[in-house]
Amino acid sequence: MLADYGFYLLLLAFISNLFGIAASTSAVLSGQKRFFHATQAGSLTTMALAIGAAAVLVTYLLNGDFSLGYVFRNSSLDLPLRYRISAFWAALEGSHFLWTIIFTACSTVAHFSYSRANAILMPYVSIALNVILACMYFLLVSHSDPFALQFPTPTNGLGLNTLLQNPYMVFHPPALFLGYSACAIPFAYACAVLCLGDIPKGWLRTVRRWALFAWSFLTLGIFLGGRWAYVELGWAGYWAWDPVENSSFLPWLFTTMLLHALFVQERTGQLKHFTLIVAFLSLFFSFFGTFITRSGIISSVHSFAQSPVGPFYLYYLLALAVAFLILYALRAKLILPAASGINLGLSKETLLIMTQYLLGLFAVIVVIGTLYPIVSEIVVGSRIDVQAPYFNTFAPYIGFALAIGIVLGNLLRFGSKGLGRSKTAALLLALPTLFASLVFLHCGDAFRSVGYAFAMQFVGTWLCFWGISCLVYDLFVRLKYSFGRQTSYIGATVAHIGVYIAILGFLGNYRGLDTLITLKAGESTNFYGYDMRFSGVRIEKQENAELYVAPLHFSSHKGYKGTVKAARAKYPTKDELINEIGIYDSFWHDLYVVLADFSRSGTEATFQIFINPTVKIVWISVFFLLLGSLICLGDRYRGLKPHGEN
Amino acid sequence: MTSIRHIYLAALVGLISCTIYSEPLSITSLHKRIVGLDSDTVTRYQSLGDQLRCPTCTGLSIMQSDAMFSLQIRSAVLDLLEEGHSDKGIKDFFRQRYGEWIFRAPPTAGFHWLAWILPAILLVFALAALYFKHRKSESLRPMTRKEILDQMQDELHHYRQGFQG
Repeated sequence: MLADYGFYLLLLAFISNLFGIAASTSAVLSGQKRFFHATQAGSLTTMALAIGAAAVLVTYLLNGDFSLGYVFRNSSLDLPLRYRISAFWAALEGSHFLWTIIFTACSTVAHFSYSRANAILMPYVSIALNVILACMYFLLVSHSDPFALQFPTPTNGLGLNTLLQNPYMVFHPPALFLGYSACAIPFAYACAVLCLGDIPKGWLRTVRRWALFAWSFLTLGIFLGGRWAYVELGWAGYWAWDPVENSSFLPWLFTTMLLHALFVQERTGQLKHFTLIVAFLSLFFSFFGTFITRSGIISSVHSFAQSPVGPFYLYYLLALAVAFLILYALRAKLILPAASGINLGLSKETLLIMTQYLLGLFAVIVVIGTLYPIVSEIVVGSRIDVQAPYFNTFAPYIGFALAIGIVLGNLLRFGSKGLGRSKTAALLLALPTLFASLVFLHCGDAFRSVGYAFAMQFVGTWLCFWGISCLVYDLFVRLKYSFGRQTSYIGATVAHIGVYIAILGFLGNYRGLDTLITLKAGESTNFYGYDMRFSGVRIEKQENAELYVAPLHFSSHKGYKGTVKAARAKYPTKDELINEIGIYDSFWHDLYVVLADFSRSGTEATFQIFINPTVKIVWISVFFLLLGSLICLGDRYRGLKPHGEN
Repeated sequence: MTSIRHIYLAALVGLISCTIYSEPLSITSLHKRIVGLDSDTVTRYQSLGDQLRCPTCTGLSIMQSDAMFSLQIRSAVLDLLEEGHSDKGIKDFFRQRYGEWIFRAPPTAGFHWLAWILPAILLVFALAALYFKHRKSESLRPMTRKEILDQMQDELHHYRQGFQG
């Protein structure tokens, strides 16, 4: 009964959303503001109805009422509260529902939080957002209804996928969906300026703010996903270049490009058309990711969310692309280029363009690698999956090129002809940072790696230290000698330092170690300076799972001491045993232990032990990235200069 | 192709004897085999293992997965190594059996070259485009007095024509 109300609420939300399209179209055609007010009302109504529907689903989840098919398939009585709630987004219907709600919320906020200078754009923005939203609601009520009933009512559910019973999976999907949804607002504004044929004064500020917001949540979402993979999947890494990881990375790359293109546009008036295209691409690839997950055309770890919505998504993506390209082809010429040609000497704008190229190239490589199975199947007739070795061939060089690009881009000024005084500073800083990086490499025990692996670490570490010191120097100079608002420069510097810290962390992958050790109870072993003693398998209860815990008590010559608890977990609703990883993390490396095998008697166990260097530094970098974008969001005003003034 | 057939047969015999005479395949049993090997062979084993995909998982190599299928392939790699086959021979063996699909990166042959060189081509193309655009904007030197006069006269001419037409 309640489920029917849930479905009706969704249906009403869809209708209210269609009303929004009608009202905003009327606003465009008639030019009357009251129609836009109707759109705003429609948007609010849609959101209220969607939240109502969500409340219905949450009620079912919290009550453990398995008469609802979705609750039956993804939940069970044994789940702790947080996973009962996160079961909401554990499968296709629910996660699409969550995305739709978040999208509705973003769209509603965009409807109300526009600046006065953008008022003329808003009906167009509203059409774009409501049309995308209509597709999502249509999909929700037609193909992936979360309110389908289950009869007869089972006494218990099938349980939540055990891999998803992890705190990171509670937050990862909402964060990513928030990022994806926020990508739509720059896109809607891009469509609006194309329709209008001009970029009004407030456009840049609003788009920049939304792009930063989207970027922050994409970063957070990707980080949470990587953390989840690291602590849950047991292959000792956080990034596998899985197709779905790639498709969350693509919107991130395009949003990064968008932010930088907006910066160039703000300061020189250039790259106006480029900005519009990148805004489109970041939205397109946020849906593209869902398409390849859901359609099952490319297999991935996320394939638990497969369903027959593939063809619908394909048409939707094609329609989206064609509609934007037509709009662009017809209207882009109305958006006038800047009055002056771009200065492609050794200047900030040149470097910004070059780094855009690099990011774009990175995106192209990721797209090639992700789509290659389909392409090779069509062309050669055999399906070839492209995995980590392919991407890892290119990624380090792009990373290094970006590391250089960021330094030069920050030291150069708009319209400058060279580095000027910064040149001396940059050269002088090379020497102390060489020492710093040698010390860093020594502490991180990098000198035991040889050949190519060592060369990459050495060059990378030096570049990163040099980069960070140059950025700090530049910020110092700016704060000392220039006046006016510097908030966004501080934010950008912090975020760029975050990028260097991330690269420092990634470089640790060149010196990872692993081993397999079989131990009887009471036996000890030594690996990488750790003395480890195994005391036998014991059974522990943790929330809803029974754990077969094989504790390793370790002490190292560096004074670290503790117990790493690798385990196999048995969940009540699932048959197979799931790996629970034991991790001891220090600044320089993680001790990462997987219980590979254990005897029935519990007196013998085989451990796979990894030494993962500098993983913690990668997590630290995310803090800098997010702090940087937060500071940038706090910047009070940046507007677009009209064409004449640059 | 006889050599490959030989490898195939040898591996089959190896696999069968492995299943008959030794303990059941597990991470532990594999580990015991690796302990006895010299470091050179272990390095080769690891590098080969990194290039082969786990058939039943996504995105992982056979070394990163402990699925039964991966363990079987790992054990087959060890068999072939112990029999003294070259890296190329071992790869050919798996290529023969599973096709290119078993490898984690596209081969550097035929059409698949494109996957490797397309990024480089695009980079060169993009840089060239930028260079030519740059050259064009370089040529925007200040106009001479005569050129300005010529241009003004041209425009005036068009303007008048417009009125006449």
